[in-house]
Amino acid sequence: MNKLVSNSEKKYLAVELSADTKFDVLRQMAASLYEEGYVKETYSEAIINREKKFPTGLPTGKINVAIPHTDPEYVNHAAICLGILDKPVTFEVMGMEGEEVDVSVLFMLSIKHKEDQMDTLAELIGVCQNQDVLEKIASKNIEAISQIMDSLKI
Amino acid sequence: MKTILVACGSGVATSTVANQKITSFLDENGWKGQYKIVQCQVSEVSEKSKSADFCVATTVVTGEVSCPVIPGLPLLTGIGVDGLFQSVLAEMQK
Repeated sequence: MNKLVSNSEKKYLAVELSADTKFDVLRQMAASLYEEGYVKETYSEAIINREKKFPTGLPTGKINVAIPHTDPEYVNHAAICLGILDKPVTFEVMGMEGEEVDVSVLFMLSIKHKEDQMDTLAELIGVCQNQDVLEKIASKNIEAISQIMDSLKI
Repeated sequence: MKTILVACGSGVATSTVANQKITSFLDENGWKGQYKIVQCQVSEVSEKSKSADFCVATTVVTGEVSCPVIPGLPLLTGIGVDGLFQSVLAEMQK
């Protein structure tokens, strides 16, 4: 895993990583949020259990995304970790039993104050629905990534 | 007055996005004041569906459900969202 951007003021970080399974992806990304102090040690396990119960893969087009998240009790501060995978990893599709999707971009949410962060989530869903923006992210264009993440008001 | 359940795993995150999108769609199409949305956890759907007209859920709904359930995924992916809104309209017109 390699850190591409970290902005503690805007509360996000972006990492590139390689993994064979979705749980490995989640573990690595959760570890990077933990290293920065955004989440508690228990967050990693919580996010994996949550993904098993309520999958977050979104078939958004050529570039598919996932938005793993869990409850505020595992979180210290609101933040988003953007994960860009070297090769796609299979996730289950949100709300569609038995359906799978190959994900290459993830937004892992550390939600602290639910009410305050729902506008952020809505903006993020807007990003997920824009393949042009996702392509810039997937190509690891640092300038574009910073611009997109700066605009999210986390 | 229609009662619409909007559900996700926690009843907070993706159901809020779904709620916002359904509300703007219905209001823009002249349904303002003719429905109320109850946002809830998916585990509450079985019970709450007894007093609801239909449900939009971003997670799989299990157990006994007393109203139609529309998958909310298109509200998040943007793909197939027109079809979803048609299903919502069809339920509103019942």
